[in-house]
Amino acid sequence: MPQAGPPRSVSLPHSHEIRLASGLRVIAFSRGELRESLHIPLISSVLIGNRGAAKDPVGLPGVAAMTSTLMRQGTTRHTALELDLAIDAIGARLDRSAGYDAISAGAGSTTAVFPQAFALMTETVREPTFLREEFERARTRSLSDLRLAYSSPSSLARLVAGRLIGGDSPYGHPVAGTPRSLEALGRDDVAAFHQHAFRPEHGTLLLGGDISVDDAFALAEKLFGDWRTDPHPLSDPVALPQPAAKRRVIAIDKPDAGRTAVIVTRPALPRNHPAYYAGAVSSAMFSGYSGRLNQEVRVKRGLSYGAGASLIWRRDSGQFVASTLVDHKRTVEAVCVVLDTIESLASRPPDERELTTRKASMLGGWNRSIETSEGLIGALAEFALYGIPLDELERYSESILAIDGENVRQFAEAHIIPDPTIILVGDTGNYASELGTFADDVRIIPAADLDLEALQ
Amino acid sequence: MSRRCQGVAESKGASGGVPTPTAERLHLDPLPFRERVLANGLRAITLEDHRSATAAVNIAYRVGGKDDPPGRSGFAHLFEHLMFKGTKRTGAETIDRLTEDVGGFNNAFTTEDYTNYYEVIPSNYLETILWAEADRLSGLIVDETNFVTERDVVISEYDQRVLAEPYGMLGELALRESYRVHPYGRGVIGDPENLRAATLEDVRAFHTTYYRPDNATLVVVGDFESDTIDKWIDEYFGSLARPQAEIPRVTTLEPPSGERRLSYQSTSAPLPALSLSWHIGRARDAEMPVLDMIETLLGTGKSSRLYRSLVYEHQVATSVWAGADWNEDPGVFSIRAIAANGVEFSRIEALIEEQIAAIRTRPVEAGELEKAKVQLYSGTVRGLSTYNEIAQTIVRSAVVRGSAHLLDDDIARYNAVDAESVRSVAAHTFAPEKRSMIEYMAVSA
Repeated sequence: MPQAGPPRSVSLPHSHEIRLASGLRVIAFSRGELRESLHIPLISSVLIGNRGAAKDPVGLPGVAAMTSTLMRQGTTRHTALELDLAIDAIGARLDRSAGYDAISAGAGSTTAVFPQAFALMTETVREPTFLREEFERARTRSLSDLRLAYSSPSSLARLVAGRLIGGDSPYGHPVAGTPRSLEALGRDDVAAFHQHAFRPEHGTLLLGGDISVDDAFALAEKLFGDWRTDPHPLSDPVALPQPAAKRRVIAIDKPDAGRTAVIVTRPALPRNHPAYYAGAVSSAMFSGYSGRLNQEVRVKRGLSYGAGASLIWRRDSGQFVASTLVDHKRTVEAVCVVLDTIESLASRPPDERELTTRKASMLGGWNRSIETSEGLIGALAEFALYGIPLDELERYSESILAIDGENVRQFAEAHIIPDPTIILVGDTGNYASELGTFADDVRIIPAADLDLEALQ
Repeated sequence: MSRRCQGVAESKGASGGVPTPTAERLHLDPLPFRERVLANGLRAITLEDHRSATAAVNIAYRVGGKDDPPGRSGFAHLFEHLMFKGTKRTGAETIDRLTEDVGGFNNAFTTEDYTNYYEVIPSNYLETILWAEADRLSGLIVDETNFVTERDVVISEYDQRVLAEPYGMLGELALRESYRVHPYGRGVIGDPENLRAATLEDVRAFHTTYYRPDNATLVVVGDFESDTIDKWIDEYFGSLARPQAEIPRVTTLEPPSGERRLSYQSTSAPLPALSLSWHIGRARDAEMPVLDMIETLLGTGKSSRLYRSLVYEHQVATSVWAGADWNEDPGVFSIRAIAANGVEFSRIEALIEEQIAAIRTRPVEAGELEKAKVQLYSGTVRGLSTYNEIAQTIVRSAVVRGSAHLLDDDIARYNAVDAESVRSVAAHTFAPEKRSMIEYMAVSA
């Protein structure tokens, strides 16, 4: 079998940026610049507002998510149905999303109709109507989505992990809100948050693909040059820090669960931390089919269909999460294996061979993600959001390749291994009595009593 | 003189009140691929591009559901599974490890006409994956253990996708009703009885018959140098022997038939559904772009005629779908609707027929035709977003239409469709005597 050659590199299009008179930062790149042989007439765009669920008003988690949903449901020029028809008629897409640090709206289409697609996206950002009936419909849908999430042990365990690690910090409540908060919030909360989240002075507009940089800037100027917003927006809620890591076990008793979801988690670093690449490579050691967790949990012991871990990077603080789903009766064994595997990163740091494999997997995924203009915009949007220079794009691969086994060992010892919080969601009757072996602090909470806004 | 004036007046009338035709701006450069045929008959199509250090490999064998031997329905599909089981030189799951472990992915699918295997990998692993594809073409192990294991997987896939899926049987029944003679009537997924009756010898014979270089189309798109890829393809695929035996081809033609109607009682469907189909031609026929346009007018998106009538205005259906087969042999145009609660079949049928009658008799207005052209164009272009999508588009045209270069003019052909061609193609396609209909009833468990 022929072996792989050294990783190849390609020239990525350069990003150019300006600031409009309204204060909006605009970033653009052109595929034409590289004189590629292949010319596909597609353009993508996204506008990010640097206020997301982390800035949900106190007691009202879910406002940012609801705002992003409702922006698509009607503007001063088009009802929700008319928007659907207009987008459908030009074969374009309008997206929106909400996370902790940002909410965003995007449009993508062929070059021929991009001005129309972009104008529709602009409407959803500048002129949403937030009609009450659309609000009620969205609330009903969100509540049924929450019921679905609470019924699955894996998604419920993730929500519990977010709450326990985030605590009363801006990351301690679920992006989608809770049944209580969704009932409590109203249409006006959404309209006010929208004014707060989408503002030229803390927004970034990105455009790229089959468009010249000049044309992209001209289009941005035409639609956002005169963007004015409410001069008196909401003030950001006071941000408390994330609580310190603590060794403990929280088991949510859900006797109707088919299997037990296992999560091992702890607080981690913010996105713009210098150890980002060491962290990314460290968590990659656990991930994927051939990663350490899947090898130990699935391949060697058949405890589960899969296991993996990831680091979540955000503006102020992050989180490490390792997870798997196992038979109730093998839960204790699975927790032992997951903990041992996490600790193995310090006791048995990766050698050159293992590093090469995991890095190949990371870089392969990264290159695939930036193959489309949409993907490239996604990468640049992350840099813009976290104040990282845009030319980081060109250093990404070499920064990953530079990490060695000792970097991984140090990172794991400091930021992944100490004081794990162990979360179990399942039929705890099978293992409740044995959980004391993992920590002194063991709590068992019936699923019906779980309060994701108060749990500490 | 008077005729000339009339002509001018007509053209003014056609554009009056309608926005400037966007179709003039709908343009797509031909994909700059290179095509060659190796001495052993393997067709290799490559397209070099450097937007990302990634490459997509597709290899399609011209063997699909229609080539399954009589009484052995599901063989083509079975090989889609067996091809992952290991070769004389490698173990099972080798392709998975060579892709997933380096941040890529792989998969395969079987259609009526071909079986396609594909991988997306970092470009420095391209040589390795080409070697692995050539290796499983020449050195696949087809033994009793692999055969039995994968046969059971295919049978359970039938249980899952046809029996357990609420509307899984609808598509199978529509095919059976549309084809009494041509093997398209048997579907692709496979018949559990046929598969259980198969022997290892049957399976091996099938493999020898169709898995050979002169029945394969290899497409590679992405970050490589053309000289290098030619060298690799020659080295790993060029050395494979071309068998002497001729490859059997389906020559059966489905004879014209009268109207057909079938009722079926489903125990898994929550709501009743209706399927209508009419025979059409081959994907390579000149009429196909018009049928694609009719599909768009009737069924693409919320602005389509069927959605607006059935789902939005009259609310007799919760969803509706229209599609023209894009096959090597003559296919069907199908319309399927899932009924809204308590609505009679006859009412849905009447509303569909109303739309069919309209498209057969009244020329589509300029604005609506324009919209459909933009939608078709957008669908085509957006289907070329990634290297793998480009490779799959090339494979499909090369195998189903016999030529990848037909892609060069697809957009021009769409742009050339006019109201009269839509009307006349609809008029002869949707003749009532050519229709087969399935009433799919929901029997509450």
